[in-house]
Amino acid sequence: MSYLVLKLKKKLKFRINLGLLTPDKIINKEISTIKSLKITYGKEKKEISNFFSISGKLKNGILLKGNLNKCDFIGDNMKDGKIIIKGDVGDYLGNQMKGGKITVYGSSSNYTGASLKNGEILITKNTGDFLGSSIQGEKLGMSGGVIIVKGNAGHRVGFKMRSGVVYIKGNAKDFIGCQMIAGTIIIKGKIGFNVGLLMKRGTIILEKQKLSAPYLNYNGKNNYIFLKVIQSYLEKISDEFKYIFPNTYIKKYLGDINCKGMGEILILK
Amino acid sequence: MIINGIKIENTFAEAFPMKVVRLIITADSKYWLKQAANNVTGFATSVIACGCEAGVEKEIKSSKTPDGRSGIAVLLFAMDSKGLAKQVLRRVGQCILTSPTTACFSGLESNEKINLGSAIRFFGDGFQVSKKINDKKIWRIPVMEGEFVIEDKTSITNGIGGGNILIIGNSNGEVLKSAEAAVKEMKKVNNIILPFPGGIVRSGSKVGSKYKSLIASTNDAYCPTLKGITKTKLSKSNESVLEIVIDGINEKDISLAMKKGINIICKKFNKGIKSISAGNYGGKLGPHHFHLRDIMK
Repeated sequence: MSYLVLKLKKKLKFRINLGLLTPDKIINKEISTIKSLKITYGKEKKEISNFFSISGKLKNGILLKGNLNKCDFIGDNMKDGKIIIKGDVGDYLGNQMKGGKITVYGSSSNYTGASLKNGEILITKNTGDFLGSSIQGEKLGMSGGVIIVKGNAGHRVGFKMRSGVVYIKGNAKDFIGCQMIAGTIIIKGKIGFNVGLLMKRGTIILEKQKLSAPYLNYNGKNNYIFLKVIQSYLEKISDEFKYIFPNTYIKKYLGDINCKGMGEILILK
Repeated sequence: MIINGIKIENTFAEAFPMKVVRLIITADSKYWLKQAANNVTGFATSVIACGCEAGVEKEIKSSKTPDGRSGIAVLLFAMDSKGLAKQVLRRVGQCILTSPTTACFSGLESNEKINLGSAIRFFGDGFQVSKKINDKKIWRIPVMEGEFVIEDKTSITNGIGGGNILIIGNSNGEVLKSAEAAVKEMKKVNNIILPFPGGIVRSGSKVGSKYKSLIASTNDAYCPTLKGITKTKLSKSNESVLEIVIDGINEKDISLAMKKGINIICKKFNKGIKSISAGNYGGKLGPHHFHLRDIMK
């Protein structure tokens, strides 16, 4: 496997924007050109080779190594290709991404997959707030694609989410699916307060919860066979989705009744 | 050519291009699966008056269906994409949507697509919900029983309609028995359907009629009761003819089905059956010609 390998040389003092480093943006560039790409560091413009040792070939994608928690916008607007990160990353990972795949062997910070349009993001550890949400000032959150978090997520998962799938194997904090418009959020662990507050449509699937929020209406039990259908589609994307919905005869809550009330929260157990 | 005493006529079946869609129906039980499949393919023997030709293609294991339940694949053929879309909308809306526990999915992949759930969804009166996973989209339409799940669009492709064989024999009973055996064998082939009742048609037609309003009429050359007054293709001892019509996605599988059908007839019914022929219109109607002797080589 041949990757363009970027290894962080030193600890960063200021945050940097790595949005210009996606496979589709540098596909025809020589390695010397890549090394001389300019990024803003503090108040200065510096060449990327000041921060990273760069080697290898961009055949299978980009491999980033090191503690990149001050590196933001990795995979920004990416259309195609693969980025693998061995270490933690900063904010706005996969921001407005349109295709391809990003895998983080570590944790990501806030706004991961913000306004994601298509493609796949996999985080093996934890993520911060606003996962799959809208970027600030925008009307729509993620509108396609799949985000998988194997650890925990922060507040406001899927804020203003419009479409696509967010899957969190661990826990998620408050305001999950807040102002959600459509899409699917699946959380296997525990959740915080105010799940589905102000959601208009969309589906939040939880493992085992008792919900008593006044803005939700209990809708009884029924057989939701669509879960098996989306499971079969998701299985083609990742093995993580195998057997995620063992049971389709489940409880449903509808809400937020103060909005349209068409959002649904399904409880698997 | 004579196989086991049965003459294979030196002729060909003439077939024409059609548009085809494969739908996968799933349900909680085999009973409701068959109810839905039989209804959606009902009254679809010939495009002459039914709007489309349809039939059950095969059963599908639960591990191969999108929702993990047992499924049945049905094929629907029409003369053009527009006509097919119209028939699919009507038939799915009236026969699958209405059948308890069923769901409906596209069973083909091609660039040409027609509406499926995207048209039926309006039945949900605004309460319908879509789910999109990458390029796959389904609709969940609330119904009195729960939810009807249907894929947004279905692919269609080019198909072939009108492959056929004519079984000619000296008694009604023998010809019917041999046709039934042939149908059983031909149904084992994928990508084809036999659209007529039980796969067999007794009223094979010719193009045109003495009555101006009719586009097709009885194939008098093969009617045993008209041997004395028409330009018959039957011998004096021939008393019965039955036809098996085959529609398929490709020429290869139609040929294979014809071969399997003729083989079983020649193997097991050589006493009652005298010859195998095929229906054609002199090669002027359709571009697909299935020459019996080439198939049986």
